[in-house]
Amino acid sequence: MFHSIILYIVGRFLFVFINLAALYLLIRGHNAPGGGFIAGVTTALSFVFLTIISKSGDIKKLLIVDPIYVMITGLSIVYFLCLYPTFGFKAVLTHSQFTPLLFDVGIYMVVVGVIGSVMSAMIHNTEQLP
Amino acid sequence: MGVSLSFILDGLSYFFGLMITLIGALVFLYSRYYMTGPKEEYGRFYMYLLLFMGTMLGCIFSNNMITFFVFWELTSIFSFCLIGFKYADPEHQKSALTALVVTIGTGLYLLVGCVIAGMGFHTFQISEMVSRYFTLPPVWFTIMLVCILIGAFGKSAQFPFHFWLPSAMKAPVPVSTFLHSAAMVKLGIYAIARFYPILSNHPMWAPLLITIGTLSMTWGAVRAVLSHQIKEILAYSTVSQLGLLVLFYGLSFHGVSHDYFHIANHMFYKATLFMVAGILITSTGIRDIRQLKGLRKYMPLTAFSCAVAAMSMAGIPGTMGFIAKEHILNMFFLLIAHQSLFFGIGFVCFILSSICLFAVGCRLVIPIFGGKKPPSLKIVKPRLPIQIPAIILSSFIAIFGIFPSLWAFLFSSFSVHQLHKFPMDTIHSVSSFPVTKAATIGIFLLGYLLFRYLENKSLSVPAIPFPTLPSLAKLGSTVTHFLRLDKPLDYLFIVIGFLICATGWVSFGFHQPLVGFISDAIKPSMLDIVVTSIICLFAVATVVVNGWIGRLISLTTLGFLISVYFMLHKAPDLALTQLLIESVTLILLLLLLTRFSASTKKIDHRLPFTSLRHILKICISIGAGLWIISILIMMSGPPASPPIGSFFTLHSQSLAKGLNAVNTILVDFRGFDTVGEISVLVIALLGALGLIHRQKDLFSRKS
Repeated sequence: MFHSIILYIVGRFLFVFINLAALYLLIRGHNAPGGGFIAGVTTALSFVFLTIISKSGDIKKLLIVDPIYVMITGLSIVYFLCLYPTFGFKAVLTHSQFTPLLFDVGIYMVVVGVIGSVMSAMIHNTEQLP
Repeated sequence: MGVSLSFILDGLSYFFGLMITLIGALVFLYSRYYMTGPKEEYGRFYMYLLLFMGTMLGCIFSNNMITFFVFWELTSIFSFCLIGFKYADPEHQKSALTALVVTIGTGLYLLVGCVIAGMGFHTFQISEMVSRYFTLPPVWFTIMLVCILIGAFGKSAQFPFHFWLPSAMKAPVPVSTFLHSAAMVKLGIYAIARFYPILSNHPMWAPLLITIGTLSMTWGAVRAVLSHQIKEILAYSTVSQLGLLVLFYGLSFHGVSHDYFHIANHMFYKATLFMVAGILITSTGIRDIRQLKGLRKYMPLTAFSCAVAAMSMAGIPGTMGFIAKEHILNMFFLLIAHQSLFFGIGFVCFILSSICLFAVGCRLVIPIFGGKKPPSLKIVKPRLPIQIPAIILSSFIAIFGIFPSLWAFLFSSFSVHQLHKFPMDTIHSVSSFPVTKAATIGIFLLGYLLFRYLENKSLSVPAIPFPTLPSLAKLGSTVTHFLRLDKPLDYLFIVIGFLICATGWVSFGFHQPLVGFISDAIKPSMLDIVVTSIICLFAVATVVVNGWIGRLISLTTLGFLISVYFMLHKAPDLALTQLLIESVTLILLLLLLTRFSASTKKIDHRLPFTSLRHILKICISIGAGLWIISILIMMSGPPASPPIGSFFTLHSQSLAKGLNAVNTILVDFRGFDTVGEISVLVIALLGALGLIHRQKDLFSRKS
């Protein structure tokens, strides 16, 4: 989009660092400020950077997977965690050792998928505007 | 709510269930040999048919009124799928839509009736309503009665709604056999029988049923005798027969007797006739009965079953139809002897429609199967299996017609308390009056004369234009155009304005006692005051600054400052979320807005208070601000119940094993809410994607 070499190089580094920060926020979320939603929005911020520095502006081409699949996976994880305890005759969403983190990961993936898809659709569809 | 999946198992539902499964099984056998076309369509056809049968049984056996209604509407939906089975044809689409609109629309009346019944009887269970008192004023009982009857009339194609049934005959023949003679149209009759114990004491019950029943009986019979398309004839005679059944329930004042016999009679002979019609259509390809002649030699079995069924329709001795007709004539004579002239009109109409149906019965047998086949008529001999279901059904007609005591033996235990008469007189002893015999012979003679009279004429009824569907669509679009606004922004005025007007005055009224409380509770620090005043500054800047980029940035700065405020009050999670959301939104909006052309980004530079729209905007903004402030004041008042926040902060570590209370609430304590929110997010995404992609199509079409 903007053909600036500085922006391009800085943006590529920023992408990595922002996502590292997102991972950090995601993992520590249960005990300190952070969590699935915040981490998801952080990653979405990195997508915005990616959009700015990429030539076509379509992040779907740059990412390995379509964000909508990320969303579907996340939603499946959350629903699975929701129903899983009922097989052991416990209440819905009874957590055990690692499931809160997994639940957060699910939320993270949904948020990333939703924002990523909307963003790519918007960018893609405003391209031909006069 | 009182809505449950409970079932009623009594004679009435058993009888209907038995009949539907019997006819359904035969229809499945029949359609195995009737259906032609690509193999892929079979799956769809049988799926619809099975789904229909399932919902039909669900409707008949459900005891809860709401469940009953749901199944009732589902049968309409699957009937729509089946009528429009060949959906590529616009004529089929139209008739499917007509049927859907009529049956679903009248079904909504049934819903109203169900809800009133539920409120009046304090239960939705049909079996409990019988023994309870109606607690609402009596006018509600009348409304309930009328609504339920409208639902029943729409479903069984009674007079004002009868037009959907003949147009539904575009469906494949097995569908017509099953849905439009035996099963779905009988659902209205079932509803009348089911609610008979509850509603029949009302003074309007009998007049309504008798009037509507008489009208549709006569009109259907006259139309049937004047039609020439075989399926149309059968459709109109179905309307007539359904009218007769409605009339029959209206005439039964103190308990019904032998209604099963009438219903089974109609189901058997009409399903047989439809099957015969299907055989005729497949083997000759002709639907007009005037062109069919001398088919006796080519399909003797079909000729036999058609003859038996038509005899039952005409009411000739030795069939179920004869006994049914005698029974109704007897009822009429008894009523006329005791009661008023009102029944006299019904009686005349009954005689008239019987004469017409006799002529129809003759028309369906004598010209088609008798005489000599014209050489131009090409016939493919029907295979044996396709003829079997019709023979089975017609043999039922003959067996129960000759041995009515067998019927009484089989079905006397199906009677229902408060619906049927006790003790039940046996059906074979009904033909007792000499007047009845005379009337029967008169019907036969006049019917035969009518048949002879019509044989050489080809009268036809002018099609009455019925502007249902197009006018309905026009009404819909008119209403939409009336309610629609051109700019999405205008909806914001309406929504916020309504919110302020509807709820504002409540919250404004709370102020006085709270002001003192608040000035005590909040002691702002210096830092608070500084941050708040900067926030106010940017809020003003958002409105005052010229140019959309400046406005956007000042709005975002306002958001950042609010996150600082969150930090001051020890809410790091909220602050973090706010910061991130603000930055993502800002960058994304900037990115998108740069792509729009300059003309769309123009800002109104006129001075405030110059246009009405501007003044309205300012008023609504101020109102919304005041509204929010008053709500905040209300919320910071003394809490009505102890706050739940302390529970979460206390137990965050012990129960959820986490130190971040916000996160434990989201993931653990209120995890289910989070699951719901995520699902909403995904649904919103799907909607947004749909909108964005449609917008894209719009643009590409323009360019």
